Amino acid sequence: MLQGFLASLSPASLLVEILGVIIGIIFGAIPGLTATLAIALFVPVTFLMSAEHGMIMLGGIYAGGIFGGSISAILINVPGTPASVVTGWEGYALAREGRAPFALSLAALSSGVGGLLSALALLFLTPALSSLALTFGPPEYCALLLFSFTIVTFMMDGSLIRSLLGLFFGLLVTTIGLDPVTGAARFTFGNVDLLSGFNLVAVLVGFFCMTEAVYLASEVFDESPSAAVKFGKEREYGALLKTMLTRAVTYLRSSAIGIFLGILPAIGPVETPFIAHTIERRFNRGDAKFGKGSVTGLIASECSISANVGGSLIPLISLGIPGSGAAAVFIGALTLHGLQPGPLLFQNQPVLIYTFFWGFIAVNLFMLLFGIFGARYFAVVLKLSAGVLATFIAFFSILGAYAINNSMFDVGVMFGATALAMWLRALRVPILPIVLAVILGPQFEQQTLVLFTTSESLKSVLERPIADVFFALSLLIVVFAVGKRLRN
Amino acid sequence: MTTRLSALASACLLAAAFVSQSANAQPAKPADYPNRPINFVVSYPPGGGMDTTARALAAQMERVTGYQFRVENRGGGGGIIGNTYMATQAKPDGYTIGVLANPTLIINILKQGANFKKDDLEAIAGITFAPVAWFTRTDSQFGKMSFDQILAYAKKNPEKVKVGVIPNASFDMATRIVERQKGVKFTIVPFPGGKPSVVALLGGNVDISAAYYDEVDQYLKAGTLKALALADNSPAPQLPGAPTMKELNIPMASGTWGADRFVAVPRGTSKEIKNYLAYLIQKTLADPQTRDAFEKVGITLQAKTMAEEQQRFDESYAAVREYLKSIGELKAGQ
Repeated sequence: MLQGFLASLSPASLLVEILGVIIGIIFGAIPGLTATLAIALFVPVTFLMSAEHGMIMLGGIYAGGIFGGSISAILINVPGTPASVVTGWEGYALAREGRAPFALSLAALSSGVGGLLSALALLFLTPALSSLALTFGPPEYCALLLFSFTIVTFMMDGSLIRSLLGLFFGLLVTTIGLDPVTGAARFTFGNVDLLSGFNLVAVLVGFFCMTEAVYLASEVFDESPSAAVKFGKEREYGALLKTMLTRAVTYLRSSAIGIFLGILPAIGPVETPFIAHTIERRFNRGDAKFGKGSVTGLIASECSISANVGGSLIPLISLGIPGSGAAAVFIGALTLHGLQPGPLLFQNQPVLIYTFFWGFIAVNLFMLLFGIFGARYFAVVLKLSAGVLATFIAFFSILGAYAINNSMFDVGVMFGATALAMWLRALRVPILPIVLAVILGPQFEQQTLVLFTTSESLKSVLERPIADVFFALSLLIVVFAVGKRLRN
Repeated sequence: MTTRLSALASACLLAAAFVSQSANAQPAKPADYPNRPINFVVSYPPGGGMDTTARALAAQMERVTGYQFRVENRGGGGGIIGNTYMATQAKPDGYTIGVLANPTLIINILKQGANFKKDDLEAIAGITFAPVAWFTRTDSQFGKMSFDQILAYAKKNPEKVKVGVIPNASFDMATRIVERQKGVKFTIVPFPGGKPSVVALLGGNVDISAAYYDEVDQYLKAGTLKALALADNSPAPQLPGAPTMKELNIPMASGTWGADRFVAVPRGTSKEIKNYLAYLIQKTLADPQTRDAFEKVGITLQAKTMAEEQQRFDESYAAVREYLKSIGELKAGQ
């Protein structure tokens, strides 16, 4: 372990750590370009390095990319990666209050703390925690996903019917493509491109990036007084420290949730902030700003995403199981370096693994420092005119949608999602239940399917305590929410 | 010992490939080809076995030939989207080459009604073939049984043995062939990929998992999992203990139910370019350094020449067709 620590501090290691984080932040901050894409693009570059440096660099790109997405989410309400959607709600609202530097620094700090805690878990608890990934079977997944759907649909303000409609519409959309059992094509109308359904990244880029570009552009044409975000001048390091100390529990809770969800192979960084954010909401009922510029909400979101990245490396290294698209590319990269992630990697290459673990801690430290002290330089974005910004976002949205599978079809999907998002906004139908359904729907279908094929009776499902807790909580939420609405 | 045996086996295969190659002299280099990078199209997203194969091949081709090779991922729909692109849209100019997998491509045509035909693609080289194998946890009740004993148990207890598979692929079909030939009934549990199925096996949610060797290699070496049987008729060097279908008296087509990774060009590619490419690939695959590079990423090369690969394609096509016909799932008009 000590050997690994020293190796992670060699000049070459420090260089790849910094390089990885910077590349990641840049890719993450550009809407449409995701962490997965950055890793895939830089895999060949890592062949010029030793295996451990390659791993550290990819780890840095992964962590930096996930944080980078939050920068554009906070400054211009355009999540740079799908994981930053929740950060956008809180961070952009804060930015509009003139607290952009504070929100950016806080995001960096929260990301860094979540990442560091997960890196520590990775360093010390990997063998112990990796078994967690296997104890979560189909009943637990079904219950957890049902819980997420319930909490988002029933906890939203506004019309319950509209939220439910959105949820079911989203679930219906995810059934497009190949049936997971029979392989029959569903709702594809003979179109080959529809066989894999609508690509999630393309849909999210359409929902959040392109839509924002269109609204920005329309502001320019209307010549309406733009509600542009002003980047505040004040340095709020004191406030930052105070916020962090007073919300230590939120940090711990969100990091724990993030690490735990990261270890679960089926839940990746995109899903995590939704779940962490809704759970944190339950602990902060008094916070009227929750979801609309709450400091606690921002911490919960950022902390959990970064913790998820470290958490997902636990089963990746110890079991060879990827927890997200980015993690799958990461495994591919390791394989090309001649390292097969799995139970034997620890035994055969302990120094390499510990070098990577310490390197990952360093990566998170650099990310934290860049975020806190470099935040003001990101504000250059706000100096651009709305027209330039809109063009830039639109260009990268198209590029990003195309780059997923090198397919123009995904670009079409992205534009379709943009049109849908604008239509729904006009109808005042909330988009969040649809987003959640599109993200979690395929996993929900898959897990339900396995649950129904493998469990012999209802009893065998009810014998799983973790699943029972989530089922019971979901039921309680439904009863309370419906009861409350009936009384009003 | 086993590594030495497998090395010996690969050496023999390589030698065979080399001899058959040196019999044909080097074909003439087509004029002005290649004058720009050549693209390998992979019908799967980055990170998987096919992607690794294509990237390793691209790197070795660059080293041996000096030309530039790129990998282009066109994933989605379990391979059908990229396969359709290769068969219907790719230009037959020698710069767009598919690194593809059978029987997925054959199943696309015969079962899923893909809008292309077998003849739209021409195989020019075989890279490797890995048969599907069945694995179980060593500490489970099936870990102590042989494949025959498990089949006997399944016969007495229909639908009690849960087998994780990827539907509509070799995994699923090979498992169903065993069911039919032996008159047993498993509970077949569908998973979206090899990894989730192995996770379910490790977590005890299924009893047996149909997978490829390279997906479970680590667990075999660690002693957590053991191989029960191979869905092929010749033994695999990586799984020395696993009985073949022939040894178990289960009739099954050879070289079909697994991953046959091969290189193909779109129909209409000129004969000179096709022969020249096939020659370059054979030359690369016969190089000992290439073999080592592939071994390093967990792939044992089993190179096949253009003629051999086309023959295997035809045989697999006929075998899959016969199977789908027998269960009534053959797409109308095929």
